[in-house]
Amino acid sequence: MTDGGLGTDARKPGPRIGLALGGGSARGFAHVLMLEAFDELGLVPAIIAGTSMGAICGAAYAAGHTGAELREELLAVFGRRRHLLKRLAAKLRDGSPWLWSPRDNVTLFEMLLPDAMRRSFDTLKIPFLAIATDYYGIEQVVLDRGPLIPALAASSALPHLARPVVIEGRVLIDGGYVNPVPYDVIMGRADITVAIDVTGDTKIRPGTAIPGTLAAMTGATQILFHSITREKLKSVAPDIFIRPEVGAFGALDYFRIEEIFRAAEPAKQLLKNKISQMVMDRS
Amino acid sequence: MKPTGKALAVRKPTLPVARPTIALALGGGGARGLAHILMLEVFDELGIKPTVIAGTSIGAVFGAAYASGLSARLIRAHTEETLSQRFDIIRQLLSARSDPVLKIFNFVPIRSALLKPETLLDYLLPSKVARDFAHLAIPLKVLATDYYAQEQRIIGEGALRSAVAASIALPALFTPVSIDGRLLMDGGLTNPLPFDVLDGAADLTVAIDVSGAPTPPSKRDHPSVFAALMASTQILQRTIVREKLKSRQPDIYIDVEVDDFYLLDFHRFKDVLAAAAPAKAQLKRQLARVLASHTAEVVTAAAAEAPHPPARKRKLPGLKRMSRADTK
Repeated sequence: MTDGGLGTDARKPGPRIGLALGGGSARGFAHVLMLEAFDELGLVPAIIAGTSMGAICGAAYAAGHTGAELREELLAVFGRRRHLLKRLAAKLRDGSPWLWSPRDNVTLFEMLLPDAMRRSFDTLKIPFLAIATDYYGIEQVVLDRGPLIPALAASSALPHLARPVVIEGRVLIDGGYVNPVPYDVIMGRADITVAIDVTGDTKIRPGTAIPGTLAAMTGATQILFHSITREKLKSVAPDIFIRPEVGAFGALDYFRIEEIFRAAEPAKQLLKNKISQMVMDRS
Repeated sequence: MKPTGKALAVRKPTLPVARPTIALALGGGGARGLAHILMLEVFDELGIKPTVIAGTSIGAVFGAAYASGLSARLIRAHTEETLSQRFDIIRQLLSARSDPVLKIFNFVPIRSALLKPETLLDYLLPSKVARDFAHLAIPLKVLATDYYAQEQRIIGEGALRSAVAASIALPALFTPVSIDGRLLMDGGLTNPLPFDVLDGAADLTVAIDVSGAPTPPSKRDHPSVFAALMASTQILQRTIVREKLKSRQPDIYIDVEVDDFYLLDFHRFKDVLAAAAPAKAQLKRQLARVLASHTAEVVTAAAAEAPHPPARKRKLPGLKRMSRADTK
């Protein structure tokens, strides 16, 4: 955290900032730059809500990791394909379950996430909420207590990639299905609400080529997420809405992390400008 | 059906009329949308016709049939006959899909295994359905999704069959449809319940939601990958409708209780219709009530030489199960 930033005057607290980090799988790596923006401005969000990849990044930040640490950590895992495999292999040698299914998010997260995130919600330094979907109830579930890992696993359990997670008797799947950018759940608890939508820009891309089945399905899911956010914005809008230009990346492009970081750079600058302007106005 | 050019224009009455005009929105939901047939019966039984219809996916299929001037009874007979007598063909068409869909999760894209949506329409649509929007008795708006632009397309002219084909082209089951250089897919991806595109088209807007909800196969069971995938699109579409209802609402909203049916349960025609019977009764009751009160209002207003009163807005309790609360 840099000194002389906007939020260093403890005697005169600035406006409370609520940060909502949306779902978008690999595109969610863009959140790291948004968290760096907060660090560079010397601002700490008063509350963070996250969906899916937004929940994972948000929880890491709420646990005390800086944006820069998060960048380093993620690059170490995803910067090279073999790094991830090496790490998983090492964990298996250490006695992690051998009969691990790639569809089991809980075990995967136990193996990959740092110690600070293997605790519970109440050990976090910043209040944090994870959004999941009650599969049978078709409704939003806001997770804010208990062990962190099952909550993050549920929030990011895309049904075609991961097994649903049962918490308190409810079958939970990815929060993006009910709330892809969960700014509305924190609006009452902050003065300024910042929403980061990483489902990609909606610029018209040229094309008439028929996509492959898998591409069409992920594309369709992206369109559905956009449609939800578009409708939500008609009834309630955050103070700052940032959509990093990561639309060119697929949801599963985890190993293109460096490119995703570069693509999100303009959005980071935009976020810094908008937040500092708004904080000045309201202080 | 003779071409009736005049019927194409959406009439927005400026003078008081004895009966209010009605815009009808039929939502998407696969086989659950068989329930739309019963809703169309309500219009026939009350002796009224919608001024304009908007349809998404299966809603576009039955909307196209009804807008062609066919009676709900005829549509029902044709659908029942097709699904009972020629169902083997449809089942083969559709069930062949489940295997390729599962294979997708091994990341083997099998594009060639996809079905052309027109093939399903050849069975589902009666032969008397108009070929072109210009030949329709009731103006129709068909909702599709522009895949590359990531937004809805409202199709209201040109070839009807290809527009409806685009509207039902759910990825992983069907090939997309190209119209005017745009790659189009299922309208449910952007607008699963298209009552908003009818804003101002008539005095009253009626929306039929057949999106349903996934139900547990047994209690607290994990859904299968296939069930979860089918349901996930359904959940997303339901979320869109829920968000949409927060900013504006139709005058009559019917949430048809068709939860127990999967997207491709076309062989369960009778069961779907039985499950939708309470919703039909609800629509008939609400429509009759609104027509009566609206007519009375208009008469009063006309007597007082006042301008045409706006349609009274019903208060909607979000996506709460209105049909259930109302019918039990």
